[in-house]
Amino acid sequence: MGMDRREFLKLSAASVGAATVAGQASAQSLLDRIPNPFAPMPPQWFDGDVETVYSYCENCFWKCGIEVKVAGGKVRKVDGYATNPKSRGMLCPRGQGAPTQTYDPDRLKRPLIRVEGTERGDGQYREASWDEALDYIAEKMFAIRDEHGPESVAWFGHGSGDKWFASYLPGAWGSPNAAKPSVSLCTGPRETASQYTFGRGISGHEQIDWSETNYIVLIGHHIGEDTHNTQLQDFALALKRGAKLVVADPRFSTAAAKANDWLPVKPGTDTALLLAWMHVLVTEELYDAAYVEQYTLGFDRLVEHVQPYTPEWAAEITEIPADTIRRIAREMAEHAPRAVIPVSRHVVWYGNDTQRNRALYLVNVLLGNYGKPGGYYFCDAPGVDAYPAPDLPLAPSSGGCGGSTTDVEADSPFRDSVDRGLFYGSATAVQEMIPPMLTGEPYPIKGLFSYGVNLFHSIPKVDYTKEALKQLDLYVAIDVLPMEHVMWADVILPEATYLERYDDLLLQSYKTPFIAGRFPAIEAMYDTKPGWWIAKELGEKLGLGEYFPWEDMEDYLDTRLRTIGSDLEELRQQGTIVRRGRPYFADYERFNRNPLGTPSGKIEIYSERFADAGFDPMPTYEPTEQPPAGSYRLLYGRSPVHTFARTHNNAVLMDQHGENEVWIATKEAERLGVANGDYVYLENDAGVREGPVKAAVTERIRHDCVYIVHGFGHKAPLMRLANGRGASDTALQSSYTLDPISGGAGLRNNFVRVVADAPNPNHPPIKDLVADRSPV
Amino acid sequence: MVEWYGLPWSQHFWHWPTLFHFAFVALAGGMAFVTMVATLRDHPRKRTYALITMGLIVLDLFTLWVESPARWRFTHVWLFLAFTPTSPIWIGAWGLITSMVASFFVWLDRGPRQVWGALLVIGSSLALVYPGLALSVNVNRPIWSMILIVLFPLTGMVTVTALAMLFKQAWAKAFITPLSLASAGIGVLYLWGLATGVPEAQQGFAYLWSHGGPLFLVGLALLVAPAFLRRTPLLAALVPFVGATVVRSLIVEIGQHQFFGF
Amino acid sequence: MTRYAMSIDLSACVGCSACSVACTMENDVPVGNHRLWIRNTTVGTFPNLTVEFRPEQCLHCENPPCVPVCPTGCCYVTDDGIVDIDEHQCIACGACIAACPYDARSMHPDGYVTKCNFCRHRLEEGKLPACVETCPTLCRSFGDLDDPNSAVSIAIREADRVDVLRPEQGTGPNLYYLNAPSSFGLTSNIWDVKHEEGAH
Repeated sequence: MGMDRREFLKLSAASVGAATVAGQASAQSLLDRIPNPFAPMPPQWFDGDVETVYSYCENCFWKCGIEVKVAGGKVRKVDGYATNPKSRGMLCPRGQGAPTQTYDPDRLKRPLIRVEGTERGDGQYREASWDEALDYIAEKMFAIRDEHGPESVAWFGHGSGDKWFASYLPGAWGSPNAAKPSVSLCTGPRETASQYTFGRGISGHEQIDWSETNYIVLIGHHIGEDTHNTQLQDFALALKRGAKLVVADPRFSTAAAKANDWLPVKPGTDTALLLAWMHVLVTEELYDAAYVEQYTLGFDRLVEHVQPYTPEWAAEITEIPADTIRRIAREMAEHAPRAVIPVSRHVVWYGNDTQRNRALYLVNVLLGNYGKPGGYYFCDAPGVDAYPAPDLPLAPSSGGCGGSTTDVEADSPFRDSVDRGLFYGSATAVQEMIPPMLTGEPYPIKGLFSYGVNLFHSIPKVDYTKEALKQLDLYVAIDVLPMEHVMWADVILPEATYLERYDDLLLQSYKTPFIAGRFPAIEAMYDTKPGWWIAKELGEKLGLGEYFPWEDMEDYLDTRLRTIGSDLEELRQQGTIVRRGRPYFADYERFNRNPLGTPSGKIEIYSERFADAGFDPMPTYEPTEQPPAGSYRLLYGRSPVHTFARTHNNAVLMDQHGENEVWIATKEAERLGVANGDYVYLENDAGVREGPVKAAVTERIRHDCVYIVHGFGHKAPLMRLANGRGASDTALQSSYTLDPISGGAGLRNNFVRVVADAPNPNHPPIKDLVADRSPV
Repeated sequence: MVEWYGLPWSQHFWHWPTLFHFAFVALAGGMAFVTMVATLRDHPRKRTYALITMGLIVLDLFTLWVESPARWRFTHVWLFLAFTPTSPIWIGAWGLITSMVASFFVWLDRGPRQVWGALLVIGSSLALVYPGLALSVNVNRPIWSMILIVLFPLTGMVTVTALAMLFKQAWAKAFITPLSLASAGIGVLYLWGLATGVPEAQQGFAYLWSHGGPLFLVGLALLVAPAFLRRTPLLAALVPFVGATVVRSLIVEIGQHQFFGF
Repeated sequence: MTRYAMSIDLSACVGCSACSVACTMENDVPVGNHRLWIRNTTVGTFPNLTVEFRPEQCLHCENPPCVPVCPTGCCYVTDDGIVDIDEHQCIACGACIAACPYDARSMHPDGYVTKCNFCRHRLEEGKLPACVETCPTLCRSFGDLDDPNSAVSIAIREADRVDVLRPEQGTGPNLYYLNAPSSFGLTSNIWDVKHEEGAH
């Protein structure tokens, strides 16, 4: 209760000590320890003084504003706060449970250097001081630079600190090979599609005008299982308001359970469905003619283009009845422009993803909802100047979730990134930075920084990645937990958790753009350091000190905030500074401005640029590869209580959901002889076997696919709660289909067999594992 | 399909030591009953019986203490500082403590015998009745039906009579068969009541049947056995003892299930 | 007089478990215990399916079966209708756990019974229970049932359908489930549904 385990241990150790030293004292302390049945319960954390510190959450990347409640020097609770537009006083389960990570005894505690003479993956480390660890890194980096050039160091980053390790430091060092998995393994195609259609990104936060819409069509969009706080609030409020919901998904998802119509679409055929909707909207003249006339380019070509895509044609492909397809299109039109097909977040499915997202945007355009109430709103990040520092030698290249970056300029002394030419877009693709480690083509990658990127739970072809890592001269992991990939690194730098550190300002593009601050609630535990500190110290050791002129983060943040007439103290008091947004066309037109950034200044239904590059200028349907007989398409998704593969050592969250299950359609399970709750293996054609994983035999999924929640199946013995529970979808993704436009890695063309009669691993309850973990 | 995030506390709340408690409390309550009769009739062995009663009560309370999650909190003192007559456990606690005090004076052979006897009437009946009562008040758990208020004292008396037989108490022989047969009869009635009752009871029957039905029938058969074992007192004592304990234990153990989604 | 009650709108709930985790953090509930948990039940056959997302916790019954069986009187009902536990008098006998038809009471590893108390400490500060405050679907309403203008009174009044768990138990729950998605009401109030689908 009022005493945590460590204090208790200390206490018992103290009593034992007293017993051996002085018998008298021990008798006294023993008496003290006899419980008094009349004494009240020890006070709860909230009974004493509770200090509140503003921050934003880090347990997923929605980054809700939180107030951190600290009692007795320990963070006890986090809550949303009303003035933050993302949390609005509420939080999802991951946010609520996040502080548990800070107190995880399995955390990385001090810098580690791989023992000389051991192989990567052996997991043998010696403790080092920060100075020694950073010197070690700098020395290796200079060697790489001398032999191969600075570009041969790749930088992967994900999380609030990725600004430093996937943008700023690579820019200062001079490597364009900086990438975020959140682009080519997640949102890349939708961003590219948006850029080439509207000349604007979608931003990390989907800019759907939920509060104004009356008709919502979700395609493979897992709201509810994907608990992005604000989105979930808006979704629930829209339903409460009476908005109609249609969900197309091969699986009866949580969102489908709330839908008026569920379309159990055949996996891989969503584009056909979207094209048929365009067909109905165009041929029945249900589209918003005035909107199309005013804002778009190439509509006449679309009219011709969609002629063959009749609902009957789509019904054959999607297995959704033509009447239903037609009815939904008409209902959308009836509610337009307050009818919307929100773009989903993880969109790297089948390799044709840019075109599918283009198709999705174009249906929205025909409904006339882009830039109109009830559709997609416009948003920009609030402007705050950078800290005055010299220009970086190379423009930061990993981009945001927005992913769009610029090519290395022709007159630059630096080589272009290793993935240039593999696809059309200008983002960097994290999975394409792996092969040059092995092949040396177009030039070798010899060094790698992984800041919070789980190399083995995000990038497909895990075995290939492992082979590639073995070829590196330097591999540095900056993380909080001893994930499997972390224990492959040459140098492990333990980062302080989000509750223990400052981070850069959160400049959020939103309907009401806002600035949020992160303030440390407690001192960093153990010998851990914030990302900004690691970057600055390393920068200085690399001779890049001029790019880090700030004293510390307080100086950095205060200087930046003063450029907008605020300061650090004000942000500390308020947590969030909210700005006025310009969500609709009308907000721009009032000032004779055009929010569209395409070369034509219009919404490009027909893309000249795609045509010039040899791609379909308007989306077409390409059949996807089908599973061979006896195999199922491997679909994956989210648990509401987990984020990626990051939260699986969090005792509180694992206590909620401690292993993933594979969903198998009832009839298929009967055929396979698998009963609900049985354990099975999943096996792919490359011979990868995952599991044992529990079977969930259910009516909620089509017969041609199976589904598991992403992020389980850790093979990291030092993560004592996560290790060995469930199955990893990433491990089973032995191939991917590269989207030739965006560079996204289509992950859903992986097929698995279900092998019955796996042994029951008899996972102990999480509470037993927690009890067994003595603090290290 | 049911998905859970977090779990309700649907696991068993009473574990195997509790079965010992239910066995010992039957012996303790039964022995208090025997002491009561002996005291009122001024039986020559009343002091011995009183001593055994105290021993059994101490053993039972010790079992309870060992299995209690609150054993190092010493909060059991609150049992005797509160007045909660609706609680079977409170009733049982007072029944046992009353039996303990009365037995103590009977053993000392001091004070008014009739008063100790009267106290033992109350104490022993409370101690005998309360286990069945503590189960049957839980209307949410259909396996613990109302009939246990009768079944538990009866089977409790079976065990103590069997014990008396083992120690060659002459009177016991006369009682073992009628008590065992009555227990078996009530046991059959109990099953019949579940099997033909409301849907919840029927579900309870099905669950009891699938989780220990045959063993339960064996228990009932063992209770019928003394009728055929009059020539072998040792068996005539042991067999119903086992039968009564099996029946009681199965009801306590399996009956913890409630039909709420698991 | 105040009569606290809660309602959960099942048409909005997505079973995300934010309430459960918030409860765990707020009340320092040990790993392995839950004062609040989520049961998501699927009924029907492909493609005609219904999923009921249902948070469960102590229902603060009008007629709580757990209270009279408590031998020390540590289980009690406050003047506001909250069923609470005075943990320091608890002897961990398990009688109340046995009596609860909803599995809402659990044994704390420190040797006492624990359960939802509507975050009484927060109510005293004028705040809502932690689960209500954090719920991202805003499906929970809380307040005084005797006040017709309280959030919970309004929510219940405006609901198309109001159910309580296991009404046959006669407990008079003060936690109301609104707008259950199935035409027949709460899934576990139907014996055969529960039996077929409940295996886990």
